[in-house]
Amino acid sequence: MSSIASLELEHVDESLHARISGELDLATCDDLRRRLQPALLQAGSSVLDLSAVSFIDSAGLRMLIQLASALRNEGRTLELIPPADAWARKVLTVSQLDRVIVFHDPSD
Amino acid sequence: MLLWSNYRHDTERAREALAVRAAGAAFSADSFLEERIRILSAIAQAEPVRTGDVPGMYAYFVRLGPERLGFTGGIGWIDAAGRIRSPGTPPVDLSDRDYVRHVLRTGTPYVSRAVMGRLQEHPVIVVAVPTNGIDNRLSGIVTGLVRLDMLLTVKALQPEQVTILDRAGQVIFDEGPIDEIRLPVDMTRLASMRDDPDGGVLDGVDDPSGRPDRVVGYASAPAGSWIVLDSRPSDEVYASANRTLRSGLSVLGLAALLALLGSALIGIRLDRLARAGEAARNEAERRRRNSDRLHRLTSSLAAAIDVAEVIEVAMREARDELAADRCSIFLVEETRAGVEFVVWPGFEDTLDTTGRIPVEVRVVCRDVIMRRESVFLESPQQIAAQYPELSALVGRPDGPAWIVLPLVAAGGALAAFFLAFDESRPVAEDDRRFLGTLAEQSGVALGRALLHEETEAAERGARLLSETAAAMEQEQTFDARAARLIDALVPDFADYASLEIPGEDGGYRPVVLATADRTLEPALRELRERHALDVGHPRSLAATAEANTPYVVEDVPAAIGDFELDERTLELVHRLDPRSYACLSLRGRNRPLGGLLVGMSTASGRRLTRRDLPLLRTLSERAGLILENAVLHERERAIAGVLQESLLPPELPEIPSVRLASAFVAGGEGVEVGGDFYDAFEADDSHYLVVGDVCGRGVEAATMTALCRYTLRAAALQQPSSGPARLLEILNRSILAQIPDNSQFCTVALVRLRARDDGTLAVTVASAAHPPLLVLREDGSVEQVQPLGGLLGVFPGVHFPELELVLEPGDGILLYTDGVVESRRGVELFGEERLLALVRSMPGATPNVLVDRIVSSIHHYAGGHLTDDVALLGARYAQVAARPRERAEPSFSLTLPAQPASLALLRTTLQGWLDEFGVGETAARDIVLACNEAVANATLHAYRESAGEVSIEARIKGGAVLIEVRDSGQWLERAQDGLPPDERGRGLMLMRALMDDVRVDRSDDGTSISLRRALHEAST
Repeated sequence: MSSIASLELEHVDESLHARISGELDLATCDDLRRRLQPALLQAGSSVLDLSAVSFIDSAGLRMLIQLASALRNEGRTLELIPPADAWARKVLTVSQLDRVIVFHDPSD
Repeated sequence: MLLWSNYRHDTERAREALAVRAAGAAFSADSFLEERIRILSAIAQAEPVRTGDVPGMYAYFVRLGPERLGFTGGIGWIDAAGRIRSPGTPPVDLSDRDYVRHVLRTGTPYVSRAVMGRLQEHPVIVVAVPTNGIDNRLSGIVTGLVRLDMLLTVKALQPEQVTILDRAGQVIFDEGPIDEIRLPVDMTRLASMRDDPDGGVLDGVDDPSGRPDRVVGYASAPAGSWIVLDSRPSDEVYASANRTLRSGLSVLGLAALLALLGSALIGIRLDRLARAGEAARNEAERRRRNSDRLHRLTSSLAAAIDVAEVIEVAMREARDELAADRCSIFLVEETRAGVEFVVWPGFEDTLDTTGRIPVEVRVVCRDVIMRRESVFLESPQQIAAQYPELSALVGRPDGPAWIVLPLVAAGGALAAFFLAFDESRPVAEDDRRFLGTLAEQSGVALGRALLHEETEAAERGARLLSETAAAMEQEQTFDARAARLIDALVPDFADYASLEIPGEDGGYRPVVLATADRTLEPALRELRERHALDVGHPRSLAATAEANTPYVVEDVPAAIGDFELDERTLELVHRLDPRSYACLSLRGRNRPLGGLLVGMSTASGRRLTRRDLPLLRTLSERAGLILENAVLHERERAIAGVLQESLLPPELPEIPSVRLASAFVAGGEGVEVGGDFYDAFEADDSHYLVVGDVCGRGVEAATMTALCRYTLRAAALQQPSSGPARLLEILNRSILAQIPDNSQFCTVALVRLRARDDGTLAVTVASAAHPPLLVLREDGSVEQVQPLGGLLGVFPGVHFPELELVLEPGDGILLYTDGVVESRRGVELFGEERLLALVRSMPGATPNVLVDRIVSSIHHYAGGHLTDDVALLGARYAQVAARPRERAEPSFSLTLPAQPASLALLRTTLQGWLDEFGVGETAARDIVLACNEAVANATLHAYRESAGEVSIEARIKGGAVLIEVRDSGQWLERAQDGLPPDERGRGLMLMRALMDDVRVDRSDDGTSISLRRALHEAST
């Protein structure tokens, strides 16, 4: 319903590159998660790209944790490309999300 | 040879009897004097004597009754300069008198020689005792004058011829009127007599009165250094011995003659001679026995100190010597109806079956007391002959026989001594003489013992009164004083005491109580609480207290039947086992405050009687006044406190960039409103600081304080352009107009603060004779500033100079009243130098710290006792310049539906507002996220079913952004909010991580979250 966040899913062979842009909040996360979680689970491997995310709140963090734990149940890990925006990156650090989710260096 | 040995024996007995009598008289004179010294020593301890209060002293002496104490010539006081002092007459110098010189030099009591008083017609003995002032140093002499005829009562002991010589050899008295004081002939002999501790007998001398050829028995009285002589003509003393000798010699002579005439008659004559010798021996034996028992009696009575002992000795002597079947001692009670008797406990032999003195006994005793003469009724016939009205009452012809002796002392008849014999009983002349002596000596001893006991009781009473009052006055509050009163009474004076005051229902309940046996305290408390009676109950403590009708119940066991008591009460009474008690009223000047119950237990052996009532009444009267003072004091203190608070600003105003602190400490007892004040207020574009000191204390000072404060406030508002000097002029006129009699004046320091464009503070100072104010520079230096203006309220048209100062950031000022620099340690003042040094030692201190430190320093300096009020007002100009006043405080307000979709709108508008007011980017984004979380929480938790609203208020104030997010719903408990445990509170965690302060307030009306974030980055 909201236009402030968008999702692009790009399949390369067995691998999924999911790219979120815009703002992750309570209004956008439920919809995003409904679309993301099955795609991530179906793919052999996946990367969640947050480099274009400018805002993330606790609902966004919760979504990331939920996705990570769903993958862990399958014996997999959620691989993330952190936001390019320094402030948004700080939110992830402040919430100590980096302890449960593997962050890819964007230069990889 | 029998005859010679009999003669020698007889003369020795006669000489011994003389010496014994002299010793007895010396003892009596001595104990009389010692008693006077003791009495005066007790008087010297009395409050008015110690304080040197001459009128109070004489009122006290009159109350004591000098006559009653044996000072027939009066009691007086001589100051340390040797001048006799009496109210209303100029001092008379007596410093040349021996007794004055002796006491002032040695500080010990002294008994003078016989002196002729200036005003008295009679020679007197002066008993002089040193007095000490309240500083315990010798302050003078209390003197008691014993007129010499008073000593004649001592002579009553010994009806023989007694002469008393003072240490200068003057005859203090001898028989007959004292018409002159003569010196004895032989001073050397006098000295040796005085130094002979055992006394003795001199034969064939002229006695001091010049009578020739006498036998003198003598003894010395150590207290007075007097010599007591018992002198009689030689032939009278030895008459009996001579008679025996002569009759023996004549019998011998006759026998010799008859022997010449014929031997037939010799047997008879020798027999007669032997009988004569036998009679002489018997007579000698009798005399020796009489002398012995008199000697024993005198020494036993001399050793008896208290009344019980005197009576014991007298009774024992009479019983042993006379073999009486029954005996009693009846103490005389003078009543309006005449003479009545009280039987001395333990000698109830002669009471009838109802415990009363039989009427016939009473009649005879009364007669004996009235006539002061012994009565010997040897048989019923004699009783009937002397008391015909009693003949019907006295039964059998062979009995009884009665002997009744009066015991008489200086003060009058004290007791009747009653001996009863079942059979008729002839009383021999020797026995009569012995009983006469017994009665006389017992009477004197009894009088002495009674006086001694009375003096001791009076002394104890006086001590109790003064010690209790002093102890109570050490405390300030009613409760503490009440506790001291009870402490003073129990256990020293009483076994129980309870101080009770009316409760809400009017029933009297104990405030403080105590029992000598501590374990009984709960029992006494329960007993008293059980019977919290009000004034409606006659004889209750309440009724006694209200009507001021104190009373004593002497015998509780006998009276207990008069009360209807339930079982539990009886049990408590039995446990406490009271013997006697008193109900007393504690009153203020004109109203009852409460009641005091004082009691004695049977176990302690102590007892309260009617005779204790005057002391108890005085005690309760004094205690009542002291307690009322505490009540008044507490009330005045409370009123003064309230009034004082109303005269000071409830809180200091907020002045931008200026920190203020103030202190007020009431000096003295705090019962009166002080005259110091401070104030701080805003008028137009300025702020004013005021410190003032109004002369005096109390209501008038309070009125003046209010006048000063409100006049300055009103004038500053009405005349915004006027400076402090002009405001003081207005105040001066206003004081003169409203308090026209110049009775009130004051000093004021007035300071105006005005912000200047260059970030400094302009300070204008005017002073009306107020102590200098201090300017505290940021670098720690301190300047005194004192524009010279006159007092307010004295002269019209006074002008006040103004001083202009500039305060840079970090600078401050301090205003104070003279109570600060004039707080005292002894005579030394705290002073301006100490104040300056103290302030210099605290560079950069905040006004709060500064003011607190000054107050605690002067408190400490004055030993915790500030006599004057202290007011302080300190200000420090803040380091950071304030925002220009013109710029409005930035604020943000938004109300949104509590939906997730509202979050984006919130973020956009809030971010825009923060940008507008120059909040840095990171801070702004932190704030936006935190606010987002707060609103998200509201949408998530508050309104699960239906959408409500959430409001967001934001301000920028004091270098921080303050946000409040408010909803009107209830947050659900976390366990119910549907989130897995590890995700709970993540929103709150984010807020806390990003903000400086997060507060969540949940109430029935809803929840609000307050956020604060300081702006470290420079705002643009």
